[in-house]
Amino acid sequence: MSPAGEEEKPLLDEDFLARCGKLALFSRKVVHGMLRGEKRSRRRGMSTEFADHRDYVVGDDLRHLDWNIYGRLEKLFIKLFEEEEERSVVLLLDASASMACGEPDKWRHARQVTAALAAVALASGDRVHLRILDEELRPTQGSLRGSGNILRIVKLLEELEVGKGTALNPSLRAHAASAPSRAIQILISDLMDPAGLEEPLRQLAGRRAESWVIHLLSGDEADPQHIGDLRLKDVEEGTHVDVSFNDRIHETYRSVLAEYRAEIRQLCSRFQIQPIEVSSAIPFDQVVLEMLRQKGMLA
Amino acid sequence: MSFGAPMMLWLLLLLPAVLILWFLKIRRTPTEVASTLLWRRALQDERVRSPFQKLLRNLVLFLQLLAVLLAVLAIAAPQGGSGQYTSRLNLILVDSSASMNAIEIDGRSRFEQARERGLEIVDDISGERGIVIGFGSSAETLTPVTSDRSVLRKAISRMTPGSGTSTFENALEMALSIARQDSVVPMQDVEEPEDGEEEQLRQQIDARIFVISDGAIPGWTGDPIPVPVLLESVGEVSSNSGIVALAARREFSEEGDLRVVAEIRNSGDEVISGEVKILLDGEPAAEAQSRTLEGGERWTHSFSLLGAGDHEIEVLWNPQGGDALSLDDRAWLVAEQPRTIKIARVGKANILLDDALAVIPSVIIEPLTLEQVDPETIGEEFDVVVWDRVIPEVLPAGPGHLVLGAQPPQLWPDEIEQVSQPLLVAWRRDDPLLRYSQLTPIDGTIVKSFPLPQRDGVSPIAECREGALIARFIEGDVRGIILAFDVLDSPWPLSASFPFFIEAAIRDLARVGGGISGGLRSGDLIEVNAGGGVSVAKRIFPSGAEEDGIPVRSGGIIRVPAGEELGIHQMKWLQGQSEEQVWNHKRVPVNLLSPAESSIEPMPAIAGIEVGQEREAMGFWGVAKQHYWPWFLAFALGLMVVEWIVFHRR
Repeated sequence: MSPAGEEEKPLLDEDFLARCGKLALFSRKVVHGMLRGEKRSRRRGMSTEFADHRDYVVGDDLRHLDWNIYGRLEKLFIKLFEEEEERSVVLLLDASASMACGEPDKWRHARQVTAALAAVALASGDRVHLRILDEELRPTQGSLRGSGNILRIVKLLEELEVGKGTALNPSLRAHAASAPSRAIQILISDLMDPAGLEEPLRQLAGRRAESWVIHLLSGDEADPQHIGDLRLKDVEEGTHVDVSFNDRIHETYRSVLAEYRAEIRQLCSRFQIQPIEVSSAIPFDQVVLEMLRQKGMLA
Repeated sequence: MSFGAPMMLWLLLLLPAVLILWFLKIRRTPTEVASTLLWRRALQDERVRSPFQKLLRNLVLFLQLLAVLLAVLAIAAPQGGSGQYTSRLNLILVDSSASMNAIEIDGRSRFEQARERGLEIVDDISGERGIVIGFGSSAETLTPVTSDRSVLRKAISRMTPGSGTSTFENALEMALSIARQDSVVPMQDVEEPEDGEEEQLRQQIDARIFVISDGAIPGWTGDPIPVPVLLESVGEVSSNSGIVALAARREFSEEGDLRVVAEIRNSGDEVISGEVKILLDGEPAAEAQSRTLEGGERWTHSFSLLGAGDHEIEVLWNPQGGDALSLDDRAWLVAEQPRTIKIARVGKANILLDDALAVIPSVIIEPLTLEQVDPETIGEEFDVVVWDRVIPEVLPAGPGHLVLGAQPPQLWPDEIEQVSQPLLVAWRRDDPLLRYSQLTPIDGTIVKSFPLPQRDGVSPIAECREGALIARFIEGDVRGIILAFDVLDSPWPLSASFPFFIEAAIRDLARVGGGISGGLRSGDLIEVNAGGGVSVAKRIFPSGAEEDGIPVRSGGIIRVPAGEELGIHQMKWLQGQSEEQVWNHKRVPVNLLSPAESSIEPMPAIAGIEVGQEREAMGFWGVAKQHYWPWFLAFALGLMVVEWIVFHRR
């Protein structure tokens, strides 16, 4: 559980928001959107930055004729400029029941990281799509743009409740069908899906998008300290396993977790997804300001 | 192996109960987790990695079942050997007499050394049986015969030295009695005996006696002892001096009216100097006398005091530099004014009897006729009633009765045959009645007598062939002394022994002594005649401690053991009607006064004891019964510990 009063505090404070304004999401691939924005695009467009020339064809805007070249060569050339487009950032937040389980509070931690990424994206002029997943993709809220919407997203996240089970594959499949092209996709999840992760992660892959997975575990999932004979009940499936804890079983668990993380990293590599492993035991501001920058997500 | 309590094997039904509990398993605490996905994998890995896990789990069950089985078998008292065989019996006699209080060179008492030796012996008799007998002022068994050495150890550890003289002979008699009861017929190492050729071995004793003592004990004068007697001698010091005798008598001389005589003895070999002093009611009553005693020397010193009335007398011997045994350096006496004895003399005129009664000091004599006697009140008015040739139908309870020349019908209802000039065949010279009297004057000289036939409650003092001539009798609350002849029919009244006998009989029946009390030793019985109407009695020890609720016997007799505390004990009792009850008391000195105990030189052997034969003489002794339950229980507990460790490590 969270410390007393922690739940009532806002997810992000003003200082942190101010620091987010100095950050930007870094994308290795050049992306484009529907509207002209602040990010360079491969498409030639309407900005003031010169890119190239091409032969004039009928129908071209005469305002873009390069009269200097015509004066020297008596041939008509059209000046091409780089088009500055807006960028889409899709934040995929896992809101299954498993996210509300574990200490320190994994669910609050996930919402704080999501809010922070949204703040960074909005401050950078990106269009932010917030999508909530549990057993299915929850109804899309629409996208937001402009720094003024950050508080709206924070409020939305603060009021967000966890759902029931986890079904990453159908949820992400539904997301992929309506995902903006050439967007930055960031999945924040504990990735505890008994159906497996290969198909869900396949949905995030795509040459036109840049995808990140923030694999978030609570502190007691990353390093369990259980003692005695316990019946561990799965909050989503309702099934249980009986475990008599001792040093040996803890050691085996840590080994299995390491294998699981390696498996995720392998899948991510296969689908060109950038994985980041995060524990709720690490304060979220440290995650955002240090870990994500070190991993190259933020610049 | 057999079982002492086979009915307890019903508890083996606990084994299925353990199985049921095992299958019901442990109640686990439910805990919610985000997913059991990784835990399932971990458990699978664990099972793969530990193929012996299942076996280990079954091992825990196996250990539990084995522990329960062993515990049930322990309750069923498994035993081996046979009850008809025996292991050797070790009779451990520990001296707790006064001499064992002697302080040794190492600063410990001699008794502490004896206790240590006793514990060593107990440790050495593993697998054998033992019994502890303590002997000080009395001999008593402190344990039953047991192979449980902890019982023996505990009994020896709890022993404390006393202040009485050694009762070694009683302890040895007791030990021999126990050993004889323990005798068995040994087995014969023969194959199938042919008919009539089997020789039955006699019962033999398989025992030995340890005597842990300083040897300051009397020698053995009984029969040869059939078992080995091993003296474990303790102590080294031998130098000691102390008071070995103390007496007093009233006299009337120029020097005083009370003479106290004390005897002091140096029982060691070294020269000892010291001084003796006397205290009267706690205050010095005479000048202290110094004396140097050679080794073995006895010194008798008398003090003449002004001591009329009641007094407590204490004599102290202070050897220079102290000595090893302090118990014998003090002794006590009590001088009391003898109380007046009230005598009713019932019968015809008898001038010789009256003369004998008249010389007894402190008596009031009232002559009565038989008709004047009121049986209801005579017990309260008189201490003694003298029936001279007359006797009522029923002797009243309460006073002591001296019957001369008559037979109480309640004791001898039938007519008794007359015997002339009976010859004495026996008389009890050790009886206090005859201490200063000779019965020669009545031997064959009584003109006519009616010898009393033997019956219950009658204890003859002087007997002729036909019966008792003088006897004590007691019938319920009625007690007395009877002469089966008229004294006027004999020349005895003309003899000097007659008035001595009459005085002794009167004092005996009135239970009044000479006023000087000093004869008790620790272990003796304190007996006080408190008289009628007493219900509550208590004792105040010399240390000031009180013992309440002492029972009062019929006739107002208070009787308690003197105990081990030396000094003056005070017996107190509440007497009189409910509104006028008063506390009366009597002081009783308890002393050591024992040359044997003061002589503390350790002895290497006990006089009169020879080593008996060892048991291997004939036959063999088989395997004695042995109890295995402690081992079963210990294994069960050990298995439970192992099970606990295995369970928590898996």
